[in-house]
Amino acid sequence: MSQSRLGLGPGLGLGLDPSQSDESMCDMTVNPHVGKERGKKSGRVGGDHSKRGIDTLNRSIGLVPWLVLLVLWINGINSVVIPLFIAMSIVQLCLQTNAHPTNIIVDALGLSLAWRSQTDQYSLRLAWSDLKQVEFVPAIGAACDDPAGGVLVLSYQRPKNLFSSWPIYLDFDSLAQSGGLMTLWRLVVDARLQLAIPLDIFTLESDMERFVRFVGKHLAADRFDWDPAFAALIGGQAQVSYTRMWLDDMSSFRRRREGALPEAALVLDGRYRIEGQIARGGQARVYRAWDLIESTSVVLKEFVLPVDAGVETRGRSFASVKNEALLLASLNHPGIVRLLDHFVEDHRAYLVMQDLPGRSIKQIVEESGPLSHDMVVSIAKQMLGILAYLHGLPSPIVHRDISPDNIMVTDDGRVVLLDFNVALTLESNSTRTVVGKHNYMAPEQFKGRANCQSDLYGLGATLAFAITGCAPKALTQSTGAILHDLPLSRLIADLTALDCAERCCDANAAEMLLDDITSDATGDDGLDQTLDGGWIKLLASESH
Amino acid sequence: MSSALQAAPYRVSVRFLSYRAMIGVALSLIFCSILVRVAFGQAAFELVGILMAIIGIPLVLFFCSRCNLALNDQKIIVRSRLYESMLYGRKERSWQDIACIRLRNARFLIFDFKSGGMLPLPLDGFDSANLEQIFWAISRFADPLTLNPDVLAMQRTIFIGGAKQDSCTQIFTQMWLDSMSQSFEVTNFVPLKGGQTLRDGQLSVMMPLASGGMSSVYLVRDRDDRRMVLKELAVSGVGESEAKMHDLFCREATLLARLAHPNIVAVLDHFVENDRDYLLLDFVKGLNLRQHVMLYGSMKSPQIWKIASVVADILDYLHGLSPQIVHRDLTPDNLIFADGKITLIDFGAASDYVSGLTGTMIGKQCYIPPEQFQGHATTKSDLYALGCTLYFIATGKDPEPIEQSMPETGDRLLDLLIADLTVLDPDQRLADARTVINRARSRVAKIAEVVSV
Repeated sequence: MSQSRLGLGPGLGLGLDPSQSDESMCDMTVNPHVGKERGKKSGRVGGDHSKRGIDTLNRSIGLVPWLVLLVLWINGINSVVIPLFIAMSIVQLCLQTNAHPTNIIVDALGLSLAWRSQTDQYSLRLAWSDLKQVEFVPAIGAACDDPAGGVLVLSYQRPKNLFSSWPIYLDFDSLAQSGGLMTLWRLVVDARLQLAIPLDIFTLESDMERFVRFVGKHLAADRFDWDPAFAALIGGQAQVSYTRMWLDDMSSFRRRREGALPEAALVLDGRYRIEGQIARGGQARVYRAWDLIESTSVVLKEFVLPVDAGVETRGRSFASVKNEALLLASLNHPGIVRLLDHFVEDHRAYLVMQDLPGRSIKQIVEESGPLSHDMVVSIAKQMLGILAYLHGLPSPIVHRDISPDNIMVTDDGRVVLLDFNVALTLESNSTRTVVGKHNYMAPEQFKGRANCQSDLYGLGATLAFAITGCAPKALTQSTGAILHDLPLSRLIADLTALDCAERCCDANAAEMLLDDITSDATGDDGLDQTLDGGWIKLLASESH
Repeated sequence: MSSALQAAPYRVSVRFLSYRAMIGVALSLIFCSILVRVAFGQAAFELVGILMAIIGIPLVLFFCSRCNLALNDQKIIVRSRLYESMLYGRKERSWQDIACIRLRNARFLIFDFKSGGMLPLPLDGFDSANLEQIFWAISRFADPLTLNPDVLAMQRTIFIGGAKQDSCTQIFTQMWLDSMSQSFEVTNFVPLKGGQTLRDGQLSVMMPLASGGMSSVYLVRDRDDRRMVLKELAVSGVGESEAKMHDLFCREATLLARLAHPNIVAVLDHFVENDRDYLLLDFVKGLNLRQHVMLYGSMKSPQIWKIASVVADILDYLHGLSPQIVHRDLTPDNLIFADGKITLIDFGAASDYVSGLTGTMIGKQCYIPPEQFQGHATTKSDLYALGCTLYFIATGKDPEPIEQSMPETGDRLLDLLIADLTVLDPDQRLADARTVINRARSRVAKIAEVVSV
């Protein structure tokens, strides 16, 4: 029985290269100090494992053999005492040098605790077959499926033996503190054992997810009752892990690549082959790549994450990329670019998007001058449809960066909206950051109060650009000599009104106006006067 | 890349017991020996023994309580018996083995190792040169992702400004974390990292200060240990607009290099390396006005008047040059305030052209007047930015974008000045920086008068 589940000795569990990404086994370094610091930093209260506590009885059990030895010595049975004393001292010393396990290894046979140093390695496997119950105790006040600060309690039930008197509860503190022989001995032979693994001990945060995923994977679901909290945890992890986001190796010491991805470079385990760089924007590089699994052409958008300002800053910039990804993933409209996948590699975040043959409005205007009136009408119509969809969602989304760069016209005349980098759901729009291209930005967006109508302003300014070929003046209503006699001028003027109250109230209203214009093709003159400069008074009146 | 500078290891020594503690031990021993002598009246040879102990024990303690560290690009070597057990006897640890570097109670700098063990170093045991050495080594060799935020904050305090004693307080840490989270964003290139060298090893990067989009800023030093600030613009010269940006960058740099004003940071040089443009500026140690306000709160009116007059003087100098220079980017972040001296540091040489290329602007809209958004920046635009900056240091809040600022500071003349500077219509704004200087001078004189009376 001991052979199958326990290996205590150097070399056991060898062949474990921490870097290998074999999905049947994972090897993770743990460090309780890191976890405690991390918890303290974010003000978390650790799970209630301290309350459950290791009772002093369990802790003092390590003293029993020494007491026995003492009694023997007092009785003068020195022939037994001396060799025993020496042996026990040596073992105790050896074991105490590495008080807490340095690694946790999960594989198909069981969960192993490993004590590694540069010279030695000990490991100890607890078989899955002995596992009776898994319980997840979330941190106080945390949600059921929030692994942060929680504790996973594994209850083992082994065949009855001499040592089955009472169950022993071990957590990492007790492993580290009483460290010595008896704790380990009980870990090996005790019939009833509860092992508590705080989920914040992992050196790499990504390992926590991996650990939960692996434990969930190796447990046969039918064998025992799932603790509902643990089931929720596994469920939550499954949702997160499909994105492969945090599985990026955070420990990668330095960046592997310095420059742009070269042609024929492979990313994501060789799934995407780079075919070339298409563009280089203000924040990201854009590549065209070939998806070797789906055999399609895709577009990769690459953001280099900052690593110099610590994990939190990296996490925050990553969150902004993830925001775009999650937002795009939740959208389903033919006029919005489709997100296929997103992942992190080499401290660069990638968004994988469908490859659309076409050019942005800006490119078209730069290459072949202003667009024809009919084409602009078609763009306006399709864009209003897209905006109506975005603004009509249960939690409306404001794109905030509608501009000629971000609207693409495909070769078959379809209009697709790109770049949701700064888009926000309306509810979350509490931050006062202002991002956008100022020629296409509505006045209220300058003040950090973007709403759905701000997108209409952006669209109006973009249409003005498409039809005139020159960028509109920032903070002005787009009316002017060139626009003046075009039928579309009324729509553009209406869309770019500086005061929200005078602007089209939503995309549907604008669409009706557009229908109106196109049906009586004569067009309306309406606005002669240039409103340039008038906005100051307007803004002043708004602020009062 | 690899130079002699890089191969040399850093040697750092830490003391566990300070000189003061040593003197304390010696004094108490003397005191005890006197007591013993008075009480028992020992023989002479016993006195010699005691004297030996008085000298010997502190000496032994003194030498034993010192820990020497050698840090090179491969590993940390600990030369001390004190850490024998904490490091499990493995006293050479590679940088890759570090799980986390953290501060504890602002008294210990602790290295945690992945393969077990820890190395706590008492901060009090470092003298200032050693402290700088170890942080320099950390920023060069350690994975920045293993640094805890408080260590990052302390690193900045040591390199950029602030005194050592208040460097570890909560508010200091918070201030650095806030400014760091504002100054690091995703980029479209891989920035340089600590320890990398430029110009054949003449300049080596000490620490990144900010990065985002296509530019970043570093603290660098040359072979003579002179600190400088390096701005990087990563525009590969493929497209037409990129080439234009590069030209603009160079022209701007040569223009700025001619400036000479005690309150304007000196532009030392500009060069191109690996397809990236670099601008080398003098390093001004100290906190910027935003950080200053974050730490110490908003300012009082006499100080604001002084700052107004100094900044107006800088603007007057810039606007009086031929050709005129419009700064375009005057914000509290670009004014360093240290020891009562104001220095203008940023010329937006990088950032301005970045926004010129992409047309995207982030965050600074509170300080930009409407006519600048529309592309007609004039000298009056800088005056608007000055008004906004004064509003910020007076109230501690960013002004409302494109709106006239009317603070209520209690100083009516100051309120009036800020309101006059932030008029939206440039024609009705104050005419020039001279007016501001005059108003400030008369006001400062009046305050001085009141104080003297």
